[in-house]
Amino acid sequence: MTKWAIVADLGRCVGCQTCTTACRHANATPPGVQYRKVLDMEVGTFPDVRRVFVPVGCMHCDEPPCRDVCPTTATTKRADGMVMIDYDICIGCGYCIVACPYQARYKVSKPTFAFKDAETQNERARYDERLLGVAQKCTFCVDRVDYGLANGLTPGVAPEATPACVNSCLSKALTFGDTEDPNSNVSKLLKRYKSFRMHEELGTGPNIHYLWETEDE
Amino acid sequence: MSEDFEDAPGMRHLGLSPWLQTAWDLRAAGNFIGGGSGTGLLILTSLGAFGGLYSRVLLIAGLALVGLGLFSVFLEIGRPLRALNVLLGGKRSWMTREAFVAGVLFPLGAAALIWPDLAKLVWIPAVAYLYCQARILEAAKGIPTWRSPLILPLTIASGLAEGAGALLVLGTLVLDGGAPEWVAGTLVATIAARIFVWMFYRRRMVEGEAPVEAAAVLIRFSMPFTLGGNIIPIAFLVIAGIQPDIRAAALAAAGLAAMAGGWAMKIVIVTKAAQNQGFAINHSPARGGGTSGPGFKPGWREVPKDNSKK
Repeated sequence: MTKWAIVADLGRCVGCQTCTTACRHANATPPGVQYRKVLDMEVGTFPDVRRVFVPVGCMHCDEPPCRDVCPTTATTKRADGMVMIDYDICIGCGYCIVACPYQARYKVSKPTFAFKDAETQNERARYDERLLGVAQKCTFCVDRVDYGLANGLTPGVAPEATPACVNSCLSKALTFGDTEDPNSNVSKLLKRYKSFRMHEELGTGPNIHYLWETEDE
Repeated sequence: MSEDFEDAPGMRHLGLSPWLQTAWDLRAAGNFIGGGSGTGLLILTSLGAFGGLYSRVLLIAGLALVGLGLFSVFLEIGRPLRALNVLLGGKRSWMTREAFVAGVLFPLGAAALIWPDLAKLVWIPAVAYLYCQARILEAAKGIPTWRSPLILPLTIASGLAEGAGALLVLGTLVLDGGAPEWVAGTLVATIAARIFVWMFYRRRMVEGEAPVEAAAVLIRFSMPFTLGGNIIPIAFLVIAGIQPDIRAAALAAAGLAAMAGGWAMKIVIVTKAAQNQGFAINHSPARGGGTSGPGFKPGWREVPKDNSKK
């Protein structure tokens, strides 16, 4: 079996938002829609204060609440763990938006572009009317992953088969791979370093893992 | 940081702390209001049929309330022409199950208008519909004030209280001699159940099961709700008992207040105390030669427990 996941090294992330930009370019998301974003947290109290950058987005949960509530079966979970939306079935009821504890889903009712009415060339090329009035979210760049698998490439290793956000990360804070494969890049990271998952207490089984201590003992 | 995006109600973002969801607004609340009051009225009318109560007006009113609720939520969906797709998710979704139950409730209710004996069966799909509504809220894991297990008894108790209130109001208007005696007692019992559950619910939310902002909304709402939606109806019932001259008016006022209280509670829970989960980290990372630090859960009272891997 395969289970795709992202490992985010919080010690490496510098909050440059390049992943956010790469994602927005890859998906041509409208203003306000950020499948991948990086939170800028200021933790602690003076004088012990530190700044932490936390990449977030759809966690492609093991038990996705968005799928469980979907009245149309538009939200499904693939055998490889990716949570997907069928835009042709979704009715845009918004139930999945309130069911997601990661605030990862969006609904846009009218076409909007970064520069008001003037769409960019990229926005024009990637515009998809099916996304209007329905739920949308990060897909782990499923098209790239599937393309890579069909062509014998290893997602997370070959850039052509890796999500845009991970490809663009200039500090190598983001890693994509198969957590079911003990020899994968992500499995090795999770085995070697300490990690946590966000809101794990809710039982969702999120698949973005955060490394928080990567110093070798 | 505060941004509102026109035509994109789900995208308001207020930083790191939980922010008020805007995906479901008054239209969604309307479904819980109409569904709760309508099914409450149908349940009591149906059970009353065993004691000889039969009124087409009561049945029509109950069905109309449920229908208005469904129409209200229909106005909220992004692709209304695909509305029937809502029937596809019965395996997991309580919203689909609610739609299935509606498919039984309306024909049965309509048939009961023709064959009075069928009114004795209407309570079955009505109870199921009310239960589905409660489970719809509970399944929304992204909103801490909705996913509480106490939302189940709270929604059900309020639906029954609203139904008893509606029966008192309509009974005064359309039934000879007003609503049956047992309706007032039912209203007292259901209001008592509602306020009892509310107190536990509010306490759990305030003690850390909800974001601080959502808990503050519930705290502000609690007193007017307790007084206006629960104590005042009881007071009107007492007045009805000791002042026969204004009995009918006092009973109707009690019913109206009980209904209004439930409606206000649903509006508050669905549209005001509906802050989402927000974001949290269990640990701050070590950078360079430094050491790791504490976790961070902005907008909540407590930092999450350490459930890191060793």
